[in-house]
Amino acid sequence: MKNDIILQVNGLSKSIKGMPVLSDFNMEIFEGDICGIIGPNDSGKTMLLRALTALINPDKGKIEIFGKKLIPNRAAILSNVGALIGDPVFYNHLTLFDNLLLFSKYSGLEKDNDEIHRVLKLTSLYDLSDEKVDKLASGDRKKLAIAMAIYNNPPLILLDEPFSSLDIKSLAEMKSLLKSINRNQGTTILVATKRLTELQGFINRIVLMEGGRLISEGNVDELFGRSNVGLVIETDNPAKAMKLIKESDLPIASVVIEDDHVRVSCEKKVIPFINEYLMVSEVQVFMLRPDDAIISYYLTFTE
Amino acid sequence: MKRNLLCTALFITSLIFSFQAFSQAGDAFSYVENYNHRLDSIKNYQAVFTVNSEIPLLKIPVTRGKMFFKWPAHYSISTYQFTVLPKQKLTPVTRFLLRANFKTIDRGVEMVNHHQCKVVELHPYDTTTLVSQYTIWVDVETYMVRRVFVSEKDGSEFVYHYSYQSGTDLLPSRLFYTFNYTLPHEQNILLNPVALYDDVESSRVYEGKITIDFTYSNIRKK
Amino acid sequence: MMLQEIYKMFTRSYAKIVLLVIFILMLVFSLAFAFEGQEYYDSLLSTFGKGVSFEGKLINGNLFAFQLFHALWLFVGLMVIFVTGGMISEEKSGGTLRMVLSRKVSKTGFFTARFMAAKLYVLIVVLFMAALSLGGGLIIFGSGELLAFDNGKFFVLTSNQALLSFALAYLFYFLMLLTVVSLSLLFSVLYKNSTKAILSTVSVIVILYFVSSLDFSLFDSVKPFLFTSYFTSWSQFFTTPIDWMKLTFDAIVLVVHILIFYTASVMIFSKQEILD
Repeated sequence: MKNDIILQVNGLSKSIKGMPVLSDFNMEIFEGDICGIIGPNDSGKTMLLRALTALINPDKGKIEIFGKKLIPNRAAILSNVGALIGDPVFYNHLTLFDNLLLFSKYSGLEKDNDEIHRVLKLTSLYDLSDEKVDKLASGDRKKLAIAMAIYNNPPLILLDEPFSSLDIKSLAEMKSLLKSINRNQGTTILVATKRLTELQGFINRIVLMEGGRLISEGNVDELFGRSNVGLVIETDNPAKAMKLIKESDLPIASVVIEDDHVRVSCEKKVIPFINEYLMVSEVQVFMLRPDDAIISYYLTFTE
Repeated sequence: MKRNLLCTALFITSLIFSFQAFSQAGDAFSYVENYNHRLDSIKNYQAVFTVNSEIPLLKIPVTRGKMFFKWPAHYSISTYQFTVLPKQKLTPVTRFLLRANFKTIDRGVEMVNHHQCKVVELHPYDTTTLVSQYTIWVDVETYMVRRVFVSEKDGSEFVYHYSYQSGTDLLPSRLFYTFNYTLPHEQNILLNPVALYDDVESSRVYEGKITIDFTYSNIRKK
Repeated sequence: MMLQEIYKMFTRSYAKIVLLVIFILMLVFSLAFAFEGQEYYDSLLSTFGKGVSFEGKLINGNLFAFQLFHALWLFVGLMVIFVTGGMISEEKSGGTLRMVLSRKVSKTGFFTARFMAAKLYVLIVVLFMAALSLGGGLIIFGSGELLAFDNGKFFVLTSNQALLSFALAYLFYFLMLLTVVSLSLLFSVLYKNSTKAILSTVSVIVILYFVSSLDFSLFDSVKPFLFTSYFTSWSQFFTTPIDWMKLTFDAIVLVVHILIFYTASVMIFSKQEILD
């Protein structure tokens, strides 16, 4: 049984200086979802989040959050939304504590030292609470932005590239934190990113975007079933491997180079043929390992 | 009969006085000297004064002060507020006149505030002085100076009017001073620091009136 | 929300730098005044020396404050623009506006809070000026009559009159600074770059003030509508008798300008999209 729709976007369109950044975009997010909005640069992810926080005025379409239209109910809706839109920037001359306090006031909340300390502890920033923000590393800035977003346990959190700049340990910590918030409080979380790997094992719903358009949306489990599998090939010559696979007659959905690996999306039965073909073509295959289904799924749409 | 006699006596008396006056007109400057001699009889005095001014370029409220005099020429002034006074402060102009050399011209007799006054024109011999002429109106009866007019070579004019409480008082109860002069542009200063441009007139007329009322006390004569 | 904006403003270094600069300017002036004040005023009054003489103490705290007011009013106005000109544009270019407006706060509310914070800052600047110049002046140089001058005329005010005149003049000056600040906030809304916003404000003020000061009849019909024509009206509180009708009119013109600038800023800002 599905939960209630917490966020609904219908026919959202927006052009900036004549260039469409969102085109007839539709989306539904259910209560308790962790939804990944995935797309390459300029796919419209950030614009969508800006529209969801009324930072931009859509040319067309309707946004409903918590069952209410966003535009006339902006203040009421946004007081229950924790958001990080774009790069996290703060008042550098103020401390972490003061920044949190200031932004909590902008959210219409009373001063609550305990809550500030709580979110700082959750994001492992407590020891830096009296430091000025301009001394923070970029990863810690992301953490502070996440701390702001989760402040006072809003029922909906919108995060734009929250995990970029985080080291592996911090990435795991933050994902775990958000996951636990989602699990314990039923908080709905929207995460927009272009780095699919960041969302591995994190999201349960996916929205794929490109060129301001919705490519696909749905539950990860459902989508995984109807998609190709993902394969990561580690070779001595990724470029040659990609070229060979592309030019071959094998039934391949997509092939790309990412982080010195060749990522392939194909049907499971094709994998042995790829391996054999590369070996015959004198490409040394060091390793063949399965990739995240989401990534493979995404690649089938973007290739 | 008695009445006719009285009228005749009065007529003769007035003739005698008139004759006396005319006989002194021949030496006009002696009027000034006479007045100063009379002033010299005062050893010291003090006075409270009130200054009331009407100067278009300088608005100043009514102010009060004290003046002390000690013979021969020690004047001291203390004021409760910042005060504007005539150029010579409160020193009688006539004292200064005694110290200079002038060509004296008798300009006859004129009435000043219902008092018959001898008009004496004084032209300094010293050609370097700024003053072109002084004119003094001296009461023919009391020798008291009732008006002094000072004219300078650049056209500036300064007038001192003296009023006395009674015919016997030597010290004026009121000094009414007027001045009128023009400064050329280069001598004017920019008095409008809040404006971006020089709006000082090409030549500015400085004029005004100052009225000083005196109340004397502790007048001691020699 | 106004409190946050005030807090943000006063934790900024340049808001304090401006106050420090005003303090230094005052210090420099007080030195000059202490050493050469009498000489300066003697020369000022020397034009009268031909016809009148003066008795009494001239150098006092009131005169110090009056002179300092004349010396500083324009500089302080410009310094305030440096602080307020970047109030919105800096948040735009820095991205903090995006962070702030993605929360509950409305654009109108945010702008109004900033506007009020700017108002309070200006009030503090004026009070700081008044406390240092008048308070400091009276402590150092003592009280006395004020020899004021305006438009080529001298006015001697009693110390009580002078205090009232100072209070009214500072109030009017506050109004004048508010007009300047309102304009700077309008440019701050229009531009993303705070340097552009500050320069535009200064340029507009310089041009309009220049036109206001020109003595050509060509601009006579325009001058009453220029807020810069009333920039120095505060100095008329040191004249006697005070022309209340004119000064009330001048104050109304400035208030109207403040309202126009504020309304325009709110209208533009509320329609702006946050794309940075």
